[in-house]
Amino acid sequence: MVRVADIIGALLRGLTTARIQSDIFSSQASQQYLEDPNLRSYPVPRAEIRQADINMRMAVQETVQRNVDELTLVEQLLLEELAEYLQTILAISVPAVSDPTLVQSLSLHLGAQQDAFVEQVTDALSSYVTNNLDAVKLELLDNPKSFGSKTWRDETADAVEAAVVALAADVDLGGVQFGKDVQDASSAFANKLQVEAQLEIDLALAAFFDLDLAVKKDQIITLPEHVMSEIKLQVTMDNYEWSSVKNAQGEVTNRLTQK
Amino acid sequence: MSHFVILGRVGAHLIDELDKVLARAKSPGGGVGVGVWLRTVEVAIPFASSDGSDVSPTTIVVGETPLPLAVARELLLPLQQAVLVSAADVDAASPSSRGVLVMRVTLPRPDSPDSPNEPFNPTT
Repeated sequence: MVRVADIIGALLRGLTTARIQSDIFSSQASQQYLEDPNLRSYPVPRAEIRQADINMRMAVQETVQRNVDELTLVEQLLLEELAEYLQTILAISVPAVSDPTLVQSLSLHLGAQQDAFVEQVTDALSSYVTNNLDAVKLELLDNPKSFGSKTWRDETADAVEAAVVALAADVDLGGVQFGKDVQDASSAFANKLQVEAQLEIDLALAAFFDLDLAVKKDQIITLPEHVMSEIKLQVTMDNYEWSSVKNAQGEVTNRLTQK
Repeated sequence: MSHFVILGRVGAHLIDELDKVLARAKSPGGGVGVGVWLRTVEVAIPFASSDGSDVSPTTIVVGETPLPLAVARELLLPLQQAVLVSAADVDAASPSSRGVLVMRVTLPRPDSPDSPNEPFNPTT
């Protein structure tokens, strides 16, 4: 892959090399001028590059995506959205075991146990996501309908039931309506997450890339004008020469200083 | 068709590449010539909107006159359009969905030889 830094770096290196070769040539020429009685009275020619303006034409051959950790993106998104998801679960109405006529939201049934319930369900669902991340990501992105109406619904129902049992909460989760309400919530969650996860992945891919450039004549000669990129560089060449300085101890130090 | 990229990130990527050039110039044996000062860089890079929508204005200029890299980075942040930049994609796009990002930046002069930490100032 050819990158912008490679091209500019090579050009700057080339300028330095050109200057060195020019100086070597001048050095050799000065010796010849010295030895030739006819040339001795002529000034020795010396080319010096002080500034260069360079225009380059190139084309972007390809945008090369850098690795984007899609699994981590999906995991983070799922875990971030869990709290809001659980609020929809807590809003589902269910009857009490002790009084089937008392139908109210899960959160009202739980009362002071709500925080413990949320913690247990969050832990269960987080563990499931983390331990099955490959499968979760694949199904969520490719088939959110299946993920929401089955996989995530089942995991949610199991986690809720386990928490209710562990807390000995007075709620009856055996009704058909509860299963349907969980499925509605998990389906909506999956649909929303699929859109958000895909957007996050697309944005990450859009932000992390390299440009592979076409610079060789045979690569760009047939390309139309409207696809050609251009880079213009203005370069100044500083010349340096050795100078000797004495430090406080009287030691001579040779330094490169700008001419 | 390639994956789309964010227009501002295209400019930021070019600045990242210039930062690499500066870093190489500072490192001994970095391969960038001693005493070479890359003063200004102007880049013109064609793009096409990723969804085929019309691009207006067709030329987006970051730096009418060359700007320091940090300033150019700031100005690139609002350019959040999704675009395609590969030659094949730009060529395949309709003329009205094509644009050009022009960016002009100045680069700092390499450390002076008098600087105590001057990397290309060997002493003997």
